[in-house]
Amino acid sequence: MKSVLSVFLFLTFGLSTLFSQSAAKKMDSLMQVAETSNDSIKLRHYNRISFYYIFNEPERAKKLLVQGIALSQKKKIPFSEAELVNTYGIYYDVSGKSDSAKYYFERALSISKKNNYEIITVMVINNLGMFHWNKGNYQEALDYFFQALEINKSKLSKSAADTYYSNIGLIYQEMGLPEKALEYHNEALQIRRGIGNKKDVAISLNNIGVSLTLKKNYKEAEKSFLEAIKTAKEVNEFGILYSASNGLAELYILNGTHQKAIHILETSIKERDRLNIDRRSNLSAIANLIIAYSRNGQLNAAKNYIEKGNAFLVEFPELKVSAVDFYSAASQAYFRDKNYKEGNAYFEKTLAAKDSIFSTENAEKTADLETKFKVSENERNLAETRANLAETQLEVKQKNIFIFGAITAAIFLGILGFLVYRQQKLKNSQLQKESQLKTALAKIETQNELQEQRLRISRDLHDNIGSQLTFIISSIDNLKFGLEGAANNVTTKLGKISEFASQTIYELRDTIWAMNKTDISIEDLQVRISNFIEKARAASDVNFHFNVNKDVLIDAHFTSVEGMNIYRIIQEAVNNALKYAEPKNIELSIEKDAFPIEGTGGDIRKYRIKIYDDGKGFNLENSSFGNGIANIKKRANDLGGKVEIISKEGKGTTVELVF
Amino acid sequence: MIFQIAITIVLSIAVIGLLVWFFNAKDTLSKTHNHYILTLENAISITRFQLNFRNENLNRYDFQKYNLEEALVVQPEIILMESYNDI
Repeated sequence: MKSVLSVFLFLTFGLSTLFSQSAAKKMDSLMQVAETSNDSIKLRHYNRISFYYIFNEPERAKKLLVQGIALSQKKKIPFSEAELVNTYGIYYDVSGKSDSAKYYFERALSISKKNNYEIITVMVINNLGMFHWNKGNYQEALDYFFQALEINKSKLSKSAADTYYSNIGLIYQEMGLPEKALEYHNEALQIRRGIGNKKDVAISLNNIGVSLTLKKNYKEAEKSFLEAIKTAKEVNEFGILYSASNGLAELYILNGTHQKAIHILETSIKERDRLNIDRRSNLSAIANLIIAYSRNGQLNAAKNYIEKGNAFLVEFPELKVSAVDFYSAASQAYFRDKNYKEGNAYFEKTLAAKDSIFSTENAEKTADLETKFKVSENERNLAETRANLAETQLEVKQKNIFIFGAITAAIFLGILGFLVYRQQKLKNSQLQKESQLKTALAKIETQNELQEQRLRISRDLHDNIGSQLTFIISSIDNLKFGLEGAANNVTTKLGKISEFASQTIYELRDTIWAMNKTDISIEDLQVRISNFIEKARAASDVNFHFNVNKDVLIDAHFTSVEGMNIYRIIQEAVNNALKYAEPKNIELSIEKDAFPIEGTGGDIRKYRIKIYDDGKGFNLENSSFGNGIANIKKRANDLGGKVEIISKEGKGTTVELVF
Repeated sequence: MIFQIAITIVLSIAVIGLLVWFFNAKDTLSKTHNHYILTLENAISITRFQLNFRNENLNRYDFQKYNLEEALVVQPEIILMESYNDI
């Protein structure tokens, strides 16, 4: 109950200094400050002052609380109203008026919830938990503490949850469930270590030590108590230090290491006396010490402490509960010493002390308590089941939330991924298309520019060299005219130069054209040859027969140079026939034949162009050929083919080009 | 349950927002791409026309007339050494 009250006080205000001697003076000066402050501050001061008076001057506390509540309602300050009503609940709880306490706690809860004052809500819920705990209603108490824990975790600082974990642990400890108690004490310890509040760390370690002792895990319990003692020493919290020391000593008595227990208890008793810290607790320590000494066979030392205990009871006659333990320990010590007389005497004192505690009224109360205990035992079992159920439900809820969150995140990421993928795909396809078009444009533009450049150079060649050659021809013709009557060989030579220059111009023009034209189709070449034949027919009486074999594909192409060379060979052959052979018919044919490849057994298809005239013919051996035949041979050579001239006097001439 | 509803609402809003954003981005991307493609196609078309024009003139060359003057038609609008990258 004492530990419960201390937790209660700590949680509500955390002001242990209120209980010092100087606190009364502080309260007086605080009251003076309150009277001169504005309403809000005044009410907060009223709350603090009244809380102090609850434990010192309850009537004054009640008066101040009633006054404060009325003022908060009048001035419409719900925060202060909730705070004061909560403190009023504490007043009634401390006064033992449970129903009123419960009413005011619930009213404070209603006000704070309505106005969303989370800090007050959690405080009131905790107070309701304490209220039910004090009444032995573990289930309700646990419910309230779990509520407070949930609010704290979700809406307030998680680090403030240590008190609720600790309270839950203490309830489980009282319920005789050290396993569950340890779980919550450890949670509290973890938080407190995180905060670095060594006083609270020491309290948690002490609680863990008690739970471990209940579990009979003495080794771990010892560790925990020792750490609690060390930590309490560091922060000079001697009350906690001696509580932990007593716990450790009881542990040593339980596991039979009496010497250690004796040392601890003696030190604890001396220090409590020296520092005057809760000296009343020394009687319980003395009783334990007597047990330790007597079990250790040091009966004289035990007797010494029996005397000290008697002296203590003279000083503090109200310590009736501890007296029972003391008389019982003394009785056992004397029986061990075989001093049955004293042993019996102390045994009788034990019974008398018990009787004084368990009077008729006490007996009734005990009966009530037993009933309550049984009820609370059932409630405890029920509470345990419900607590387990609540924990499972919480776990399931958290798991569901996690799964739902994960699915949501997965859906979102999936959609995001799909959209990014689609956009990237679109970008890629666009880039691919753009790249293809850019490549095509680059190619076609380069081709265009090259051709244009070539054309402009050709144009310059034609304009410059062409005009210069024309000028040369004109000059030679003028010279010939001027040299009329000169030697025949001079004029002939000049005529040849002029003719050569003219030929050069024509060839230059052909070359320029061929340089600019990439290719020429068979069809185009056929049309050009037909045109030429038509003109030749118009200028003579000769019959022309022009035939292109069906093996020659109409859409086949020659390079422009090839096309030009073919045309010029045909032109030269036809002109020669017209000029020298006096034919009646000229036949021209273009075909494609298979020609064997030497040494392979295979064959290759080549073009064959034939120009036949039925003119007078000539003897190949006796004739001297001019430039015409030489040109034909040169052009055939350029085509990579051969030209054959077959002629007999009176039997016409055939010029056959194969390439 | 409230948590689930809240998450569902937030998810729906986020998804709608995402969809709107992506559709806008796609629209902008398509417009830019189409404009660029059109520019490239125009450039290709102009170049093809110039090539055809040159070829047609070269086809007019008569081996009998030697009319090179008519065949070699300069297209002054073609600025040599200009790259397609300048588009």
